[in-house]
Amino acid sequence: MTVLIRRLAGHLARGLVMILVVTTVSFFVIRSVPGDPMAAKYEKLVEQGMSPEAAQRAVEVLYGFAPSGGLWQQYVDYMTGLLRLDLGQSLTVPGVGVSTVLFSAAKWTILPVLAGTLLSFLVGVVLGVYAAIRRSGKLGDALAISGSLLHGVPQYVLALLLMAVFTTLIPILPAGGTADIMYEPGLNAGYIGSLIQYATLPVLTYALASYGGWILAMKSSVVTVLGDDFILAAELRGMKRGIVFRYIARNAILPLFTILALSLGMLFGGAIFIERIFNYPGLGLMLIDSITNRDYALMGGAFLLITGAIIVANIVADLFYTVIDPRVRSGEGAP
Amino acid sequence: MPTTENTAARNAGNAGNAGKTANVANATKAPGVRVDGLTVVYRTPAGELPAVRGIDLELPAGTITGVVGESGSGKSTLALSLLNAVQPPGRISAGSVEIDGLGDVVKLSGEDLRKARGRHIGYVFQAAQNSLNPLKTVGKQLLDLGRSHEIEDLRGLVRDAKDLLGRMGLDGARVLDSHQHELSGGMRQRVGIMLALVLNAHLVVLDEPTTALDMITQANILRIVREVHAERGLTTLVITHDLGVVAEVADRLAVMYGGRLVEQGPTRDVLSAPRHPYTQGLLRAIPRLLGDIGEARALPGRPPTLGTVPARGCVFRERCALRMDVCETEEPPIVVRGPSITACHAVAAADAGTDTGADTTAGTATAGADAVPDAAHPAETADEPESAGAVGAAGAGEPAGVQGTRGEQP
Repeated sequence: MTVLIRRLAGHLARGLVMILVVTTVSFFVIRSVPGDPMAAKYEKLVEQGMSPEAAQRAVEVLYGFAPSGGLWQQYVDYMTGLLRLDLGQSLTVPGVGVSTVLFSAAKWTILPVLAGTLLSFLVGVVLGVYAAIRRSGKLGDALAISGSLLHGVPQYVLALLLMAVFTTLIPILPAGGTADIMYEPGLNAGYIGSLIQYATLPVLTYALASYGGWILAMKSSVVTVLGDDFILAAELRGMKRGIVFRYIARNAILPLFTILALSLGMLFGGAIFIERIFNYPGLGLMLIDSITNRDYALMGGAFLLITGAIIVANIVADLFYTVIDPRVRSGEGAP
Repeated sequence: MPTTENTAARNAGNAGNAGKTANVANATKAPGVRVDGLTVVYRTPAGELPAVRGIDLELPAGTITGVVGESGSGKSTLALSLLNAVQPPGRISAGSVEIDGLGDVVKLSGEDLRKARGRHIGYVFQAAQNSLNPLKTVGKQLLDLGRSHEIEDLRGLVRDAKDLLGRMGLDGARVLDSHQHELSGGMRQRVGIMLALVLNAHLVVLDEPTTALDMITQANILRIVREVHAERGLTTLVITHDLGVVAEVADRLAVMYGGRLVEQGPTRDVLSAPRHPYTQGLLRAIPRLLGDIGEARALPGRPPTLGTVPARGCVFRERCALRMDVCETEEPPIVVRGPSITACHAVAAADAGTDTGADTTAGTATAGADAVPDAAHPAETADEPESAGAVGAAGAGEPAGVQGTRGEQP
């Protein structure tokens, strides 16, 4: 237990330093990108015939503040805000806090991508075991080839393909959006059913796109374990097939947990192509919009969220290992 | 009920006269094994090539038989054949392995075969250092083993395991609670032996039980093998490339070359008066503790591989000093002299010339059975550190120099 706590403390300390570094770098990088939302608005107003002074005032009223202070001063302000967990105000949606925007986008990303990742993980792992055990047979070959193929097809091609099939050829699923507008958002069966219906294609696309990676990774992991001496030893001791199978599966799945944890961390980056194609207002779309609009605060907030998620995922993966792998658990004293 | 049997055997053993216990146990427990015409082929791009060809070998009940040979001589394949566990792309293409109480193992399959493994035939793995699941404690794997073989009294099984481990100088409770990475190589090897014996198997196959262990651990393991063999009344097969190991533990010795058995007989006969030119060459290659290192003479040439082993005639002829024309075309005849059997044209010719009264037959090699040394023999061997030390100085076919320090006895 103390090992666990010591590890956790170390991870948290490193994570904080990492967050500090990433925020600082992204702060300056974002602000050195050419383009300025307020200047753009101001020029637009002047072009529309407003006097420069009136335009200046209008912009100030619109955004609720006048830009002042050098870059350094802005940085200090931003970081002090962060300490109070204040991510600032969005520039594209004046008057709305960055965290609110992030949250409303995150709910449309996390659930579908999580569902897609877990679905593809489960299916990929199970079929990967099968592909490894039957690797000299036709079915094993077919599974491995399906994995390679799906792994090679870009997400957006899959998305368009699925969309073509399920909305045009066999029109059983909606082409985009989050839910049917005829239902009142809330905890009623109609709305939830509609949510699921609308999420099906994005989830399916995401699952198919990542399934190839899982099946290939699991297959090669199982093949490695099958060649391990202790599996033959277990068979020579007359262990039951089920027990030998569990030995294989548990040892083979270990390395995949790291990949799973990391891909769950990546999930906060959103799935840009899928969200765009299915018009799903998730984090990926939001990030792209914030970059096009030079919404500094929102960009910074999104980067912070992604960094934080990946750091947390790493920590979770590492702590998870100490639970499932005794070799990591004991840490010291191995001969 | 394995528990009671174990306890009985152990109590009797502790009472003092291990040798006598072994004799008593032999009468009831230890199975005899008859390998007849065993051929194992491996599928290669060049077709199916034999790794083991036409092996006739008898393991008399209650004895320790050693099989020596160089890497690639087919000895591990032979060991796996006793469990009908030759791994693909290999397969047993001919012959039978009759084990008392089990029948022909080659004909077993599915659940029957699985139950025979572990329960009747204990196998100590070649790389016993890696023979445990790294994610589970030894104790949990022991329970898996018990459940696999429908042992109802799992507590009794754990007790037996602790006893066995204690017998081998380990703290049973601690070891059962440990993961593989918390045990040293020698400890893992002993765990491997425990797992092979704990279900009360009476035929035990040890495949290179001491490879990769240091000399002191090796000596300990060999002592344990001898003691457990005598105490529990086992039939034991030890596969090794180290003549020293065989000299220390085996009653009978079989020498393999190129997938063939070239010579077999009582260990001391074979080591003191080898008849086959290969065995003679092996023994000449061992550097002695006393005397000039230059006296040790390596066999010229190199052992055949699966692809280069001759399909006809004698497999050893390329490296043989006594090579004759007939070796190219004819299978070497089986020459029986007393309890020893040699497969060699030159030996047959010499015997025919001097007319020593030895039979030269082409029959099967079962003649050794009645000349098997009694069960007291292992103790005898153990009492002779001199002879063991002398021949124990080298591994056959291995670079010999490093092993010259081997002098210690348990």
